[in-house]
Amino acid sequence: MVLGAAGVVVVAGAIVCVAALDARRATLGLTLALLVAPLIADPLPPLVPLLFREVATLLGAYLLWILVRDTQPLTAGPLLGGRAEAAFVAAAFVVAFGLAPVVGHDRGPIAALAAGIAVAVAALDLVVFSGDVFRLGAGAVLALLAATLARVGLAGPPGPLEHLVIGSVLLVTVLATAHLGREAFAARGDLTLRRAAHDRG
Amino acid sequence: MAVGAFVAVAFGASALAFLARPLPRLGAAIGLAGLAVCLVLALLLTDGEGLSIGGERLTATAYLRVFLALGAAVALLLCLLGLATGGQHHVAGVYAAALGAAAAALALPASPSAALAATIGGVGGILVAGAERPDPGSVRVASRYLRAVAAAGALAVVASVWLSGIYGAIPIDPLATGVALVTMALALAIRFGAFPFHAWAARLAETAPQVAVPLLLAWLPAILFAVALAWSHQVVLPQTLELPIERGAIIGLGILTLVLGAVGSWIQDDVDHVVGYSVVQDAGFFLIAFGALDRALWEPARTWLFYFVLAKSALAGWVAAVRAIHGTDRLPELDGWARRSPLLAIGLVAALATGLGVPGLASWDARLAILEGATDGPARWLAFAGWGLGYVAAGRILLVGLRRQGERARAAADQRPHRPPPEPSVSGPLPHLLRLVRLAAATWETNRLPLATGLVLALALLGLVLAVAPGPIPVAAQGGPPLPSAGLAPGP
Repeated sequence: MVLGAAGVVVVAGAIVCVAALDARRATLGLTLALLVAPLIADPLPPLVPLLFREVATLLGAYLLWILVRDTQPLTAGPLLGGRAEAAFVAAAFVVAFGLAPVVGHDRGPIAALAAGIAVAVAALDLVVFSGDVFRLGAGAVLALLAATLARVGLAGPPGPLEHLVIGSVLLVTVLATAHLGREAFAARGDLTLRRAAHDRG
Repeated sequence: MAVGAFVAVAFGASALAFLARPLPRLGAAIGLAGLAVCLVLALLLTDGEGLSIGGERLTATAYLRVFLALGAAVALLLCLLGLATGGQHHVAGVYAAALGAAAAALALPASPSAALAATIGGVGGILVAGAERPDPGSVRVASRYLRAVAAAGALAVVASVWLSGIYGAIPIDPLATGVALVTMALALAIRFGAFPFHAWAARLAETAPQVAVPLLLAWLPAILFAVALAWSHQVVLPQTLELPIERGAIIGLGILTLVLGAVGSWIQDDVDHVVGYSVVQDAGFFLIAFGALDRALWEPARTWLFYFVLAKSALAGWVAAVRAIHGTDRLPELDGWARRSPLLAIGLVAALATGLGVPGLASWDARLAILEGATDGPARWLAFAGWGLGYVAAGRILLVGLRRQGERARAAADQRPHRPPPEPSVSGPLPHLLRLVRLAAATWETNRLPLATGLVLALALLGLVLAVAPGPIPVAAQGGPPLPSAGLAPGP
């Protein structure tokens, strides 16, 4: 029950991230998903690795916040308006939650696998259809988060070292997003990735 | 403990260099010093020593030692080359981070942790994936790189746990094993830029600083390959499943990449694109070796990995030097480059001999063993044709260099070493030391291009010497990967 609730919170964070037009709101959703994700495990991670992941998440969120503050608060936005994307992600969670016992039996917490699949759907939307650096970077972070959630669902909770590695890879990906965002802003004054008419020649 | 020390020094130097970005020279100095310490620590690693954290163990192996030592040495040479040709100050710190990630990934057993550690290095590469002066085009290319690295990392993590259960390995299931194998192969194909995922890799070779290209396209994907190969041999191979369709599809994609990469490399007019497509082409060998699922290919695949990274590093170094000396990377404008820069020509020939292979060299034997072990019939001939086409593309560059010198070659920068201007004489021990430092700095400033040529030559000859006399490489390549941890045991 608790694991299921944590899974719902993670998916809600991913939905906010994928559906938001405002980059600050998207940052909030991403942070929520990253903060709660390590808690979908039975047993819970040891204190030190858990703290490492939470601190890494907060540091990453701060870096994204700085990027948004110093560049532009609005993203290119979801391609289908936001509600459709949110519905897809939520549906993926419900379907995966329903089907996981049939497919995955006793391999790990069902909530983790279902949340992983739902977050992967959100990541796919962001990575494939992103129109700006912020959404692309958020998609990359969610893709790796989805993989680590699926890992918990498929093979049980990670060890302390793996938590350190997961926290590091997520932090480095956020750092890469912030760096890329800075470069994009320096190059053309916004974060968009689509070619401008004058770029096309 | 030494593995832990290596990881700490590598990431520490990288973090300090990153923080020093506003002071580029300081950042470069920190990065170079970090790489030098990493080289020493790598040489001090001994087999079997390690560090345990919560049940998972980082274990040093002979392969890890050779990989890290070569990586640190090549990174030092490339970073100095970058400074000599165009002030690429940020590259050294990123190389250090990549070595830290490599140490963690290769010291761990085949597990999601290893795949994630390999991804850390890949994502960190974004810091040098853009142009020195960012423009919209280079940002787009860097964003494609991030997309590819994240996708490959996520797929590799999922594949590496697909066959593991919370209560141990799941029962043998051909479908599940096949899905896991194809997922891991997909991760490799995306990460190496194999066909049809090649577009970002080819563009990256054009926009990224030249000395960062081997890191992004060769060293970092090679780490993921080493992890994936260890996983396939620890988890998939013991299941003794045939998996003909999955293996055939992966090997087929490898052969296609081998052929089309060679064609792409042949028809390009920019030498940086030629390098990009030559990396794409060689990704074919990795896919073929991975898809073969053959115990006999464990050693050739791991041996080939060393020559691949050495050859691509030398090739990218050659491009950086040619661009700095001749002021262009367009092949039609490089008529007579080899006559004007004979030492660079020797460097290119050595790099090509290491990478493409010449009978008698260890790299040739490794490539031959991979193709002969994994293919037969028409597929083998197609693979050989792809390999052979690589020589055509390389020969084209050399032929252009042997033509009568064109306008660019005649106007090329002076590559002869010069004596720096004399300093006023001073007395006393400290001023004398100061004078030596000034002299070294003045010699560096006056002789950037000759030094760049020498560094390219050193890089290329390092690879060639190791291909002629492999030294520790065969022993390192034979050794098995670290043993798996209890929670992710391979199938019965």
